[in-house]
Amino acid sequence: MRRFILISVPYAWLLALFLVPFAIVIKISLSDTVIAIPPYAPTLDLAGGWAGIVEFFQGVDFETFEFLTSDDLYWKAYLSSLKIAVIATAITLAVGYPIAYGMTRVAPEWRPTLLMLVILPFWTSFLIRVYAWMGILGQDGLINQALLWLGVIDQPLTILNTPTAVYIGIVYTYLPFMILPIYSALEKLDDSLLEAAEDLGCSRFTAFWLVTWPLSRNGIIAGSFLVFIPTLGEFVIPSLLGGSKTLMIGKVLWEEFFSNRDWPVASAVAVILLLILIIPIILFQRNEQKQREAEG
Amino acid sequence: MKRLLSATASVAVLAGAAFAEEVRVYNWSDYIDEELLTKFQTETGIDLIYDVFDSNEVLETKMLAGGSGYDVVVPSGTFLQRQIQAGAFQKLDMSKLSNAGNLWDVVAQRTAQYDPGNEYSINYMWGTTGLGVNVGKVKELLGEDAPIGSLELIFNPANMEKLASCGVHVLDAPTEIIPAALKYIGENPDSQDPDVIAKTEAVLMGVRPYIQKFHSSEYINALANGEICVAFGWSGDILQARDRAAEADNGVEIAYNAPSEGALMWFDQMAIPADAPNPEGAHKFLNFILDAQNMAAASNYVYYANGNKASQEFLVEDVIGDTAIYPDAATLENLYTVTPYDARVQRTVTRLWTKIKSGT
Amino acid sequence: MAQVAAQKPVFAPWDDPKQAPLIQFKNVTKRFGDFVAIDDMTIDIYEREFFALLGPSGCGKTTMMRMLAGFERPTEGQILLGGQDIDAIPPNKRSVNMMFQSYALFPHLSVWENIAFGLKRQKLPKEQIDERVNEMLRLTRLSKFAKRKPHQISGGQRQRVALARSLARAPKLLLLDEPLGALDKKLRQETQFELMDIQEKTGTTFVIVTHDQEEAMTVASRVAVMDEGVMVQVDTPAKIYEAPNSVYVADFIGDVNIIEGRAKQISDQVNIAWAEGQPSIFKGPFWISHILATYRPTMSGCHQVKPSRRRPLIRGVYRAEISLGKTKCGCHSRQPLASA
Repeated sequence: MRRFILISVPYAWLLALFLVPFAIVIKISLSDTVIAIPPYAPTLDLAGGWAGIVEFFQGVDFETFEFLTSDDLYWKAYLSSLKIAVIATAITLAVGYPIAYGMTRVAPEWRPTLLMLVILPFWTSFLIRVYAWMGILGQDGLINQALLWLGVIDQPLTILNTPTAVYIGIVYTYLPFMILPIYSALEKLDDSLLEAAEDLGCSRFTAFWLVTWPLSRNGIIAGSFLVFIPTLGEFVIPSLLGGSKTLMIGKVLWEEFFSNRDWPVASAVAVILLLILIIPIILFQRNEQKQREAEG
Repeated sequence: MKRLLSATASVAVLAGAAFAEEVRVYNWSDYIDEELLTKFQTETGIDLIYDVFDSNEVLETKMLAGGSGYDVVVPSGTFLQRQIQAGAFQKLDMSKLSNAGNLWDVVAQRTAQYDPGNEYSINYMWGTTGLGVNVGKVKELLGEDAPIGSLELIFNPANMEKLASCGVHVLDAPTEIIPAALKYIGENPDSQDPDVIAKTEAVLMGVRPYIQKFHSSEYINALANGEICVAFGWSGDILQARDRAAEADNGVEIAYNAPSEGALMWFDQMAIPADAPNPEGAHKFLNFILDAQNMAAASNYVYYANGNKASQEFLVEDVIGDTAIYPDAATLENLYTVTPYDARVQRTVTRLWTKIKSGT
Repeated sequence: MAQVAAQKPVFAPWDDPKQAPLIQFKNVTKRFGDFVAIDDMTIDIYEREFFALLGPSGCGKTTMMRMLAGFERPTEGQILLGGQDIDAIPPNKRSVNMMFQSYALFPHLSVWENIAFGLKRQKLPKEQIDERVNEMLRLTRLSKFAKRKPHQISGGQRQRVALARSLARAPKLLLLDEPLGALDKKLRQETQFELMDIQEKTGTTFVIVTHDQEEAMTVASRVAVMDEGVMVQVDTPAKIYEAPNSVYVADFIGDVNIIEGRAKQISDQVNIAWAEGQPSIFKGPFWISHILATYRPTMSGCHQVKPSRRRPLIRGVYRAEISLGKTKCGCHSRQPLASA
């Protein structure tokens, strides 16, 4: 019995915070839009008993999903989001790995301080930090001022409202999610493995490629998923830092929901986004499990 | 069970006594003189909770989801009309609005188009959608005879190509831009015909590469500090940018012009949600706003015209005397209004808008 | 003893002036900041030797080994390997391999890949690598486990993988850093013999670091007892055991009773006056250090002290009889246990 209660806690959590909202979204995606509160029909009337449920199921259809295939906007937006998420994840990895690596190379007494510095940005609101980037990247922002003052450029660069700004924003925001798992993988790495590799004929560089890199793979995978998954559905960063050219599915979803007031289509977009995400999430879970088995 | 109920009831009574009455207002950003908020609280003893938004869409979604918790909201005309249809608002109790006599019939006639009989709303502000320009920069790029008062400025690719380098922002509001584009090509700006609306695509796609951003509030600051040189936006916002630039004394000179081809006239209406927690307090707030002096204070601050005839004697010359704010009779003739799109047309419009913004 | 000696010629290149040493430490000093890890050390180690560095932690033995491997460089002095100064040669270019205390097996590679790791770096042809790895697997009796990952085999097997890996490149010199430290006692004893066997078969020079005196005494041809960066005594296990040159060595090697007293030479015997009111000790086989005498417990019991005897040599409390391996009473000149 106690065991049952213990197991039921995470499942109740999953049910309440994931499955129930997801079921609601699916339900809305199957309905039709109307001018009313709420702006879709039919609504599931549980008070109406069995008759209400029957009525509900008579009213639903897959029209919204058919609609999504009728317009190239949606798959283009999914693809564009995937592209942005992949590139941003790669850049975050390229920036985050050396930082994590450097952190494990300093004297151990410095590491908590460095970890603190990595986590520190979380102490302020995400929105404020993104707004700060607007100030940094703007026409009269810090970067342009510095470059102008140094004489590198004589006309301010347009960075804000471009895809570059979106990448900067995403890399900045999600960098800690990349650094922390890689750091934890590298920190576990026994220095004697590198000495052994050198002892067996590796140069420093090949020792890194043959030992450090493969052994930090789990950290790299975990970090990449932690960056990739939220980036795919990202809305705030592209809308604040990106110009109108940055097409992302999060933005399309917003438009469906707010501009078209078409909650069923918005829900259908969300359902498909989630289905796309489920693949990497399952891969991620399997990686985690394998890692646990290897350690256990 | 009964005991539990009575206990809950007494807690509720205590809670009512312990906490002051409050009114929650949801208005556009940069849209009031904040001193008025303090004044309302001192006069009525009601706590005022004041939140802001910058797009009708955000407001509408909250209204249609229901349970927003707000007592007073400020949708624009076309949005108001649809939300009334959806049953989002309650009828006003005119007996509680002693200052309702101050309303200006010129405006009320037009707002009745969205809210028949003006049963659900009172006008807060109205204005036009037009061109804000950084005069110095635009003239530098386009010459002394730059068409700063014409839609040519933003819909003619030849002009836009030159302006792109200094930055052009356009409202992220298809219901404002598409009518303007229709007007530019000589169609009825209030057209509900998807085929006619589709004609604007060519116009907008032609200038799209030169538009830096579609956004509905950033342009105030961007214009004021010289980051952009043209904005197609709301009259009062651009005039606020003009004032901020003048205050900053940064050499930026901003001018607002309603397009000579004709400008969209819009109305922001105050209404009370059907499920407002405190409709009593909401009426008090509306009546406070309807007061001639209060309304004048708001207009003097935000540079928008209002629908309050009695307030006009308290308006400063900068506001009442500026034809950009209170157009003369001839200009008034040239202004047009639009009606809401139905769901099918709305989808066409949004899709077109997405295509224009993202190129897809 | 004589029997053993007849079977095997005595291996003692250090006594032969014609032999050229494989490794030479010449006045090597190593400092870490203010701390002197190795203090002006000079020592020769010969080919085919099984040389043990013995001492408590922090005595400098690991530093010596790491200098040989190339992970540390001497602050002063020279280290020669086969007559060549190796200071400028990085670890990956030295014909020296090391077996790490933690084994440092690559967890992402199989046993086979671990052993092949060093061979692949030499860019040997595939067949040659296969052959060598299989040879190593046979030598360490690991053929069955070739495909396993390190976390899928036992501690003793891991130890053998580490050994096979470090031997695969057939180094001139193999360094073993506490190679048996992680094994339990029984396995350790078995492995000691295995190590000696492999050393003999491959003819590689072994330098082993250990803090376990028993291990050092068992496996080594010579033992260097170290303390605070200095080699206190370098000698065969037998000599170290029976003729320690200091209290430190005597105390470090084996269990010992230390008797403090005044020593006086009387003909070929020594008279030690060691306590007021106690009779002096007259004895031959004791080794005398000024006024300190050491007395090995393994030597007690050689002379059964009868209770009837009126004047005991030393009064003590008999606690228990502990068997100390195969040592027999009166075996004064003792070869390493292994040969017994």
